[in-house]
Amino acid sequence: VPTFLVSHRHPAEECPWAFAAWHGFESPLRHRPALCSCHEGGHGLFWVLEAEDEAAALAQLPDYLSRRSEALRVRPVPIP
Amino acid sequence: MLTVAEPEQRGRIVGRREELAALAEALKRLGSGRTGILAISGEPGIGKTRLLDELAARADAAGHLVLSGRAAELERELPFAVWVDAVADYASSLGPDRLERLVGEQAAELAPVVPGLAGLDGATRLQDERYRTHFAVRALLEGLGGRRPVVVALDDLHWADDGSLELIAHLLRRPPRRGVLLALAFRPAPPRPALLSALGAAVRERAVVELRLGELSPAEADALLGDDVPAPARQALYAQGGGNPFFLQELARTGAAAGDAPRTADGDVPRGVAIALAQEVAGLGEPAQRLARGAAVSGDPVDLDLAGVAAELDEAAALMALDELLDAALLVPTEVPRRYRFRHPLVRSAVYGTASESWRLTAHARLAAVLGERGGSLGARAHHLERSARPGDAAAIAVLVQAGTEAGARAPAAAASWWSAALRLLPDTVETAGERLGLLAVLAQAQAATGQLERALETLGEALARTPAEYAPLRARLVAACAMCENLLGRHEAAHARLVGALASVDDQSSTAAADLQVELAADALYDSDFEAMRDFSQRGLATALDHGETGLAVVAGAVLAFAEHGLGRADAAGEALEAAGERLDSIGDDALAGRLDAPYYLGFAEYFGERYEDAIRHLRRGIALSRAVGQGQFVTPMTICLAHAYEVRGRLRAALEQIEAAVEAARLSGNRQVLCWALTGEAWIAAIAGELGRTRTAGAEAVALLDDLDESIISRATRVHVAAAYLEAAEPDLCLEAMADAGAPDFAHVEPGRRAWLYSVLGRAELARGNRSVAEEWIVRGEEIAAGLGLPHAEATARFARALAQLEAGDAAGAAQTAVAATELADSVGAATQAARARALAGRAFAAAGDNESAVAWLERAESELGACGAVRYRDEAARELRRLGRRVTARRRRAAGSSGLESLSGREREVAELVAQGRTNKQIAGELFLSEKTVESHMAKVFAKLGVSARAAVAEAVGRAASTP
Repeated sequence: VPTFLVSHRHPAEECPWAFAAWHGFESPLRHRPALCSCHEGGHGLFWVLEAEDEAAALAQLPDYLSRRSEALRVRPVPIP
Repeated sequence: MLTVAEPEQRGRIVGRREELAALAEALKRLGSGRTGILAISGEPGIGKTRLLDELAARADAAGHLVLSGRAAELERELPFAVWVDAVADYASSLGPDRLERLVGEQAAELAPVVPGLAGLDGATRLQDERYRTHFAVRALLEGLGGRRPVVVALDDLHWADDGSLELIAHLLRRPPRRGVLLALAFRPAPPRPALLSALGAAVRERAVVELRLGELSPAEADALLGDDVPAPARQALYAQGGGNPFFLQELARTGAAAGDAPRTADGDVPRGVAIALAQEVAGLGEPAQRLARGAAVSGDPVDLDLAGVAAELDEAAALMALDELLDAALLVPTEVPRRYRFRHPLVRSAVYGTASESWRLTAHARLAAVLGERGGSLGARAHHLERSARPGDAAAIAVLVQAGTEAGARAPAAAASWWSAALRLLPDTVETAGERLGLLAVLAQAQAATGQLERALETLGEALARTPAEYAPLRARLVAACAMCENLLGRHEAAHARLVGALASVDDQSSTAAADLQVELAADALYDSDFEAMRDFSQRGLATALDHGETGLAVVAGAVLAFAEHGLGRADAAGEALEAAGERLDSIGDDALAGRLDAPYYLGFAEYFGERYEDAIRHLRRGIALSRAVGQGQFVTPMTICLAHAYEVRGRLRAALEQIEAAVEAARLSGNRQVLCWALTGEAWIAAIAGELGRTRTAGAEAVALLDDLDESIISRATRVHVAAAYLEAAEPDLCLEAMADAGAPDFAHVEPGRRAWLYSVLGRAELARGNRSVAEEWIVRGEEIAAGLGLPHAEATARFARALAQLEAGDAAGAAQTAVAATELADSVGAATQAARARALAGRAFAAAGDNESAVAWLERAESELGACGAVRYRDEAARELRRLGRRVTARRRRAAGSSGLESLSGREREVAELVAQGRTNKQIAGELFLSEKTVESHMAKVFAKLGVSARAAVAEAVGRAASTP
């Protein structure tokens, strides 16, 4: 299954919305840690996840987040 | 804000087996799509929040949507705060378009509970229509509940603002239809009447599961404290903290039980617990103490940046202090970064209490300043300014006034609090006199809108005392407003004396100020049905108003004069007065009319009683639309009640029910029992005609029960007779006669002749229903005698209707048919469509009894079709039964066809849109007039086109024109 790096960004004033949006939303990403830059003022959330395609990757996010996210297909490589 | 705590954060729950079983049962019911209400009450620290958290966690685990909010002790005036906390972030994440899809045209009314979201425009701005926000939130919950079960968990409601409680009370009266569990937690003392009375009513309806939390047993307390606390210490803690879980844990946290502080209440907590909390704060480092105090002052939930500002700590110092507070669990994280909550509201309260008054004052000032710089909400700025601003601070006064104005339409109690604060800060000088008077006026309006009539009267009294004698017209308006408050308080004699005294003190009796008071005295006489006095005062007021070119005042005077003439049985004179008043009203532009919104109110009523129903509808709708446009709602509810009655007569029952439902909600919020009584009476009557008999009984019983606390007046008398008449329509003739006897039968002194004729026909029909033909005959004769020569065809039609029934009962079928046909002609002549259709059905029955089946079928088929189109379901079914008895098949398809084509198939709102299209309005103009978005108007237009089977606006106008020309 392909791996995607999903990057989401929101404006600072909408930070609470980005978390509220998860309620009542079924997703394997819920109740699991994610990387977040909101504390530091960056207002981004980041996941590495597996999905069939880009659309399926974004579908794991609530509408508010998926509309403000991009899913980049990635794979591990050895760094010399 | 949403706070579904992680299991480790929630801590163990001990005991509460029955309560947990109740939660499980409530969630099970919710899972099957049913709506429920849980009321969790108990003393501070007893575990209400813990139970709500458990409910939220279980619901979340089941895949439900959980919306949690908490009221805050120190921010009790912030409008809709607990709902904003619960709903705003989630609803904002959906965005305005999805909200509109979920809620429909009411989406804009969500703005007060979703304050940060742009794109929710077009809401009305009347205090008297704040039920619109309640309807919108209910629609939102229903919309969300239709997709997945929703749990709304609201905590600490004993601290909730009035706006939040009004919304909760609405949901308790009218719970969402499906898929929503409302969980409410609160302390029972001090009581919040708005919450407890609504809950009490819901409990009586068995709609609420009550969970009253008591203390833990010693064994449960042992289990809660665990083995980390030695057994002897656990016993000592129990002796001190009782079975209160929060107290036990606080005492255990600091080992305070080792001391021997007695278990004496100190505010909300025992002294030992207060000492323990104080020790906990004192044990922190100095920066952490400052941050904790800054957090307590800044709000709940705690915004880290604001808490740092209040504490005068830079980012680095604030972060270090934060770590200490988190380690000590004084603050706990929420799911939103940089946002925290105190471990318990009692902890916040204790921390707030450790700060000196002067420190708190300057901290509030720092917060007000920084919120001003950062563009914080007006409400938040006003909250801090109210606690810190100096007298004479013009900028602070401006913010408080603005915050009040912003909140006024939907949360008048909050607005009143901020306007009062602005008045306290405003210097008492000649220069500020005008501003002070303006503030006193809006403050009185807000107080009256929330049922605080005594306070409103005081405020108006202050305004009157500050208005110089040379401002006679303004003084006259203030006197009229005072008299209105007194009338609403049931002090009719005081109101009358005030008006008489004020009129006597006006030097120039031919001035407009005098005319204003004369017209008020004319309207005042209506309370006692003193038609002679009404005519005298209104004629004087009319002459003076015309002399001064005061057209709006002349309309009011003319309308009251028409009432008086009707009361005196002089239909011609009443008709002339109505004609002239109608022409004058139509000649006034909106700008001028905005200053006299009582003109469409009085005229609409007078036209209704004068049986000019379409004129009444037109003028009332104009009055309501203009009231909304200018934000003056004083007359909107009464106008809405009258509009509903006019729609009922015209056979538009769906629209009538929509209007009367709105009027009942508005009247409830106003706290005005007279108007509520009036609106409920309308609901009882219209529901009876529509065939909703259960609703008739409920509304009628509530209206009559309200009369116990009201003085005898035109409203109490009208309530009794209308509820009695509704009982007859609901097939309860015994109840009808009983209520009529209480309402003044047989003489009905003080009731004007037109309605008296109708009442006698109702009494006659009730006696016929009981088989008392001879008694019925006496009533019917009385009705006929009064109706003859009145010049009111609808009233006469009701008398003929009763006569036809009596003839039919007596076996004179041919005579009955003839009389019923005459009744249809009379009703048709004034467009009384519902009455006409009922008379046609009766004519059909009479023709059938006379053996003329062909005529019978023709009359019944038309009646069945018209009654179906009106929405009079029960009468339609009666007609259908008669048709079947005559061997005619009445299929559901034919019935649907009858009721689902043409204008009758349109909803109330679609009909309004269609009528505005017929008046040549564009979508944009319609959107403006009805306070909708253009997109919503387009959506209504699409439905109108589809239902009418047309594709052009001209065809819609044609259909409306056809309906208007058909009497």
